[in-house]
Amino acid sequence: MTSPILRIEDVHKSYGALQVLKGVSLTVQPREVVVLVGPSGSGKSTLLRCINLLNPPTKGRIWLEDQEITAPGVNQDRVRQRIGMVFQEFNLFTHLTALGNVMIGLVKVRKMRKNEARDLAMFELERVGLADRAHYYPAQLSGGQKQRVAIARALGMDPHIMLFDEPTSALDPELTGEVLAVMQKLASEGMTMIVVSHEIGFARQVADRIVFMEGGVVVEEGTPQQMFEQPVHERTRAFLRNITR
Amino acid sequence: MKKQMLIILALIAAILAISACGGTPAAQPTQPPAQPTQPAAQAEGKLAQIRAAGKLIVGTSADYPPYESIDANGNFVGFDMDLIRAIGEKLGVEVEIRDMPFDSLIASLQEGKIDAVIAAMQATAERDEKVDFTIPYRMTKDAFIGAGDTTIVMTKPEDAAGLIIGVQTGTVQEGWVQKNLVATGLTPADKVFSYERADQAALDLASGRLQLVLMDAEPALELAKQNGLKVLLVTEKTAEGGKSIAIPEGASDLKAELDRIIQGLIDDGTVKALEEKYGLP
Amino acid sequence: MRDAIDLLIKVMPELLQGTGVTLQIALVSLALGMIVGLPVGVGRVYGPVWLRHVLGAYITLFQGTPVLIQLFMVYYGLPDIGITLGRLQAAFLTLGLNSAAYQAEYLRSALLSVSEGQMVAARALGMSKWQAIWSIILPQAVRLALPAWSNEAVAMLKYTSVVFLIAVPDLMGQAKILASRYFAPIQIYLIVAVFYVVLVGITYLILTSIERRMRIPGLTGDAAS
Repeated sequence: MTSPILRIEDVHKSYGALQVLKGVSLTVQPREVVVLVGPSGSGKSTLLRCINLLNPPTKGRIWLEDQEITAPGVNQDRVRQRIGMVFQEFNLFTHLTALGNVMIGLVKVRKMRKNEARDLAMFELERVGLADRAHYYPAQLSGGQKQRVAIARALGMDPHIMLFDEPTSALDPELTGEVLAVMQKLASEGMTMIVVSHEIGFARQVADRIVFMEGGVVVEEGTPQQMFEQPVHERTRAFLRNITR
Repeated sequence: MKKQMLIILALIAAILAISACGGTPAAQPTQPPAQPTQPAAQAEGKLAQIRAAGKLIVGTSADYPPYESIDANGNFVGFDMDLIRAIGEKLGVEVEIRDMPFDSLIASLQEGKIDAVIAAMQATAERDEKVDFTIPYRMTKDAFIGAGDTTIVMTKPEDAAGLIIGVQTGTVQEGWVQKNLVATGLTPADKVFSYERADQAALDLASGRLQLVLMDAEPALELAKQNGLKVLLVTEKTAEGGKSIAIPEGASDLKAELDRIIQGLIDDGTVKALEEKYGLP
Repeated sequence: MRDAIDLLIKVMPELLQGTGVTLQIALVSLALGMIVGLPVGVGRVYGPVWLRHVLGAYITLFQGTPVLIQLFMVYYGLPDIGITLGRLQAAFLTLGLNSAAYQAEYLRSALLSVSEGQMVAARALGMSKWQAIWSIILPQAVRLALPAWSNEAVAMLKYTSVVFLIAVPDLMGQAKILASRYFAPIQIYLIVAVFYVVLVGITYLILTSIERRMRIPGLTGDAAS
């Protein structure tokens, strides 16, 4: 019905002799939530970094909306503005407050005026429930709060799609809930999301589609129900059984 | 850190106080120079001490040819060096020469690190308060020198008024410039530059940073010859007396003996022969 | 003690003048060192390979030779190729370039100690590489380099004392002149030592207050306050 927001075609990525991605193709529709699962080293995080061109693919093509972003001469900085990214290690800017972290992209990249940027940044912090922590530095926030600020920072750029790279892996178990709740809320608001995560509860409840990767290729994909209840491939079954137990 | 700073300050203040109370002869113009500040007994036995040691330790600043310099082999050479060795011979002792900055010679003599100073040094009143001097072994002249292409013409020392002038730190010439040009308002203080060495001042003539250098005449002639500089005026007016050997305050026996030897070397023509050897006027 | 005080009163005007010159040289040289050292430090880390080598050579040259030789080369050597600098300019240039080499190295190690994730996150927001360096990496690196930079400022106050060798009447130059005028080198140098300690102390207090003001929880090692 609608045209896809993201189209990945036969993407390869290698570092020297090491082949991490061996031909991945994936299509994501607007408002879709895709959860990428797979054992470590399967290439999930590398795929995310290929999508926002932090590590451009060595071979293959990617389209964001109607633009081929892997074409030569594309302004990569512009492309990244449309793709929000949240990291496992938060990567908040250490020298800026929560508010400053959200504002800096608005001021430096979106060239907004300071007042405007401050208002929007406060709005985004409210969205993740941290307006009262606006003037705290990262070191003064809990892990869950840091990750919520990181989400607010990415949202401030008004991204068309959000990439989450194991957003809860570095958190203590009791802190993952608040981050997953924010992500679930985003999904329900219609944000297109690709999430690398082992949070099975989240995948079952929120994902429209689960993609299982292994050894640099997509092994199998399907709805949560299909994937959890009747996966086609033995490897998928083995992996999912392992992490759901 | 604040506490450390206070401790350091207190420490320095204490050293300052002790060194001042210890009777180091710092700026005591009211005392007549004849009155020895060091224990007289010790200074008086100086000659005997030197004879007993069989060695006369002499300080110089070996940057002042043809009086004193260091040759390619590292030997001390020059008029003063030959003279002090001749004096050592008459005294019947070995001469050991120690090189040090000109402005630390007097202090070293006062501290007893050396027995005498020969460094084309003049017996000024200020120096005489700190140490004693022999009779002059040579009357001296000063020279004003300029760059090779300078258009300055000088007939008297005061013609230097208002010009950018360089001198060596701690010399008679520096004193003359300060007293006769700066203190009288003829030359602003920021046009006078004191150099660590006279040859460095001369280097600045060629580059145009200085208009004049005032220094002892003989090394000035030498420098002018070597570096294509122009000798503008040779004069006795800026010089004070002659060049003498400095010895510890109150060492009257040493003074008497050195005076006698120096007079002897002047009388027998040794000094004249040395002057000719080194091309001194 | 009376003598010491008499002497102090006599030499005070000249020593104060000398202090002014010393401060001027230290401030200008530090500022020049910062203006030059900042791009050199950034270029050493983020520049193209050829530039890193060129800047590395510059730093080795200035860190690897005595500052006295650098000063003589600039003051007495440059006139031979037609560049005659005034003595103050020569002092500024030599000490400035010397300080730049050290400041660049302090900045370089600070830049390298900023975690890689900071750059990645900045790029992910759509910042260009240089935008990220300027807005994200440098503000952190400068704070990390500040303690080392404070040492450089204090060292610079003392480095300046070499300029008396090109007849600049700084604190040390005045001390030399006064020491021979009053034949009291020990006393004069002790007084001058006190001057330097006071200058260093004041500098230290100013810099620690700057450090305190720029401190950010979690960045410079101290835990959240």
